[in-house]
Amino acid sequence: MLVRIVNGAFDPQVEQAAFVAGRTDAGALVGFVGYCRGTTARDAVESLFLDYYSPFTENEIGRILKDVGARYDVLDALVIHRVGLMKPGDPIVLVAALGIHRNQAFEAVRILMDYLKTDAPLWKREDGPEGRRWIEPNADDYARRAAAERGDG
Amino acid sequence: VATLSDLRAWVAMSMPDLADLLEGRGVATVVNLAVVHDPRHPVTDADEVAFLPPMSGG
Repeated sequence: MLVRIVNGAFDPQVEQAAFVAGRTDAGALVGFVGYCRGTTARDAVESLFLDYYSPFTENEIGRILKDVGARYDVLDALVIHRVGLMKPGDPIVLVAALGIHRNQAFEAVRILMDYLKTDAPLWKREDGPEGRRWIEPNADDYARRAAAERGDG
Repeated sequence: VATLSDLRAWVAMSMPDLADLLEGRGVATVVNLAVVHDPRHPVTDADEVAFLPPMSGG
């Protein structure tokens, strides 16, 4: 289980290849890449700024990773989260899981993302033509996490 | 300053710009990298204390 916070660009393909390199026990690698979008429901986004509090952020994401990894019985799991200033089209987050079979890995990645959306200690600011706006999780994010906890997400 | 609530009051007094923010909804208090809910929690010079604004998530 590995958590990395990176301040600058990262390549999700390279990271996933390194994550699985040398393993012969895994039958499935599931990876999710979240990208910075250039528009939101409300307005255009010119850039996104993510702040964090080290090592609290790493520790908390690590705790989520450990819990979910154990619950879904994956061989290994990985979270790489970018912080700092980024532009639309840039990868922000990579969540990956290795499983003996695919189902556990699919589920683990989905649940990990649900938790990260609500519980990761990160502070996100959207900068656009209308100004700067700090973001909080929305009702949908909380509903998805609650559903995931009930097991019907 | 002996407790978290003392510290919060001291910060609000020393930096009035932060006073309203500290009272805001969803401000979490972290002492030595662990979330603490009890305002009577003791603090000393050796502790690292953070008042975290509402988190955005990943």
